[in-house]
Amino acid sequence: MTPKRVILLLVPILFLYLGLYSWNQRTGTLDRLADNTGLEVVGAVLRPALWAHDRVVTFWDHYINLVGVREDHDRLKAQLEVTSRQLAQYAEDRAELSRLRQLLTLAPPDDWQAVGARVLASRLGPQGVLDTITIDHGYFTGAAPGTPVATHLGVVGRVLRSGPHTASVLLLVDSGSRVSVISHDNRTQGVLVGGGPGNPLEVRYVAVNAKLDEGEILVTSGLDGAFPKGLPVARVITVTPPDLSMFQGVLAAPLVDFESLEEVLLMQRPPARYALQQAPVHASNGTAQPQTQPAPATQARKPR
Amino acid sequence: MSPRDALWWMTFLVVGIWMQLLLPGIDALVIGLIIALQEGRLTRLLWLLPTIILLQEGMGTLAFGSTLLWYGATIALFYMGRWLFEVENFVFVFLLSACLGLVHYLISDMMASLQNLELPLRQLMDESILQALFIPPTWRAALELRRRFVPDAHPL
Repeated sequence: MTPKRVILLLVPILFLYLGLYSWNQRTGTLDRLADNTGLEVVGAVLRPALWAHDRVVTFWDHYINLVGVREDHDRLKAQLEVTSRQLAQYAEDRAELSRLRQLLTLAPPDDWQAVGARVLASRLGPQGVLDTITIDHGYFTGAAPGTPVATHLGVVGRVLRSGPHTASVLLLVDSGSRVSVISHDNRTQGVLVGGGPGNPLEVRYVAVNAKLDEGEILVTSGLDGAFPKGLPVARVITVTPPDLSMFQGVLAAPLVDFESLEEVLLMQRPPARYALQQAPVHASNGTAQPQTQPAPATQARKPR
Repeated sequence: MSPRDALWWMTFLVVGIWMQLLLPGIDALVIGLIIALQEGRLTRLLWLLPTIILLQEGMGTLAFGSTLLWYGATIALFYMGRWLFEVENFVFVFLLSACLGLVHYLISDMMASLQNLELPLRQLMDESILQALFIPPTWRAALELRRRFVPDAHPL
């Protein structure tokens, strides 16, 4: 084949490719096709492998590798006593919070539901350039794109792409990740930005005179409308006063260890906001009885 | 396609996906494309190429299109190399894999730039080198297994 023919062949292919790429960028049709077929098949292929891996690891941990079980038992027993005492204290605090909310006529935060999901894999394939994990839930099972993902330790990220039963989650550490946060103690707001693999997170737009302590926990502010308010996200590592900028330089470390993620929680937004629940407060013991039925929609719905 | 051949390809795809689970950022399925090109059967490419494109695009995180360039470059480099080498020559596969490592870096960087994404270039460089080193031995092992399991699969 002569060079002229090669060029004549390449030019229409290039135009065809650019047209296809632009059309997909506008409509997302091919992305959806890949999510519904490729991602779904990959999830189906990975599940048996993960199942076999779990069986082997469980057998090893439960029946062979029993070194230190006694020490673990004693430590956990002591920890359980401490936790039980803390739990009793928190129950009292919670009851007090409900009473104060009623007094102030504040609506409680939306009652987000958590759905458990298993991690199938980390980044996959040559095009898996973002820091992501693959989970065994898709848009049929509560993992629509944008769904917040967390563990009991803190925020993991958000669902980036999803097929019917498999989804990719963009991790907090990816440089494209943004979460609106507020510090737990000083109530200083900022935007948490991922720093890429191996780098700390950065908290941007912290005003120069705002108070923020090293070691302070950052929680979701809920202002971005993407995450429920109050989920722990990261711990402040360093706070640097600015030279010329109007904002402080703040670095933070995520609370979740992304290398050892096995299960995550998908935070499900409630279908509608409910009005302030008029839970009766028992004067005798000070505990509020939860109201199980939502208030009528005409009274309950609040503007979003 | 014989039942043994179909079973081999299905097993290859499943094992390839599992290998990608163990080696993030690496394309194990490109080995199948190289073997299919070496065997020179167009009908096989007609189902294999869309299958691995959909699999890679589904598990990837970039917008649809980068895999088309990646496998398009693989096919183009293969046919260019055919002018100079025997397709089953190890040197040919070694040079092809070195070029593919470079192509992996360039395509990922270019497509991420198009989508305003910041990529950790050091990590991308490591993965590109690993991709180049991964292909020759894996190709050799897959080809040996294929010859034993599907003896009637002849190369060009």
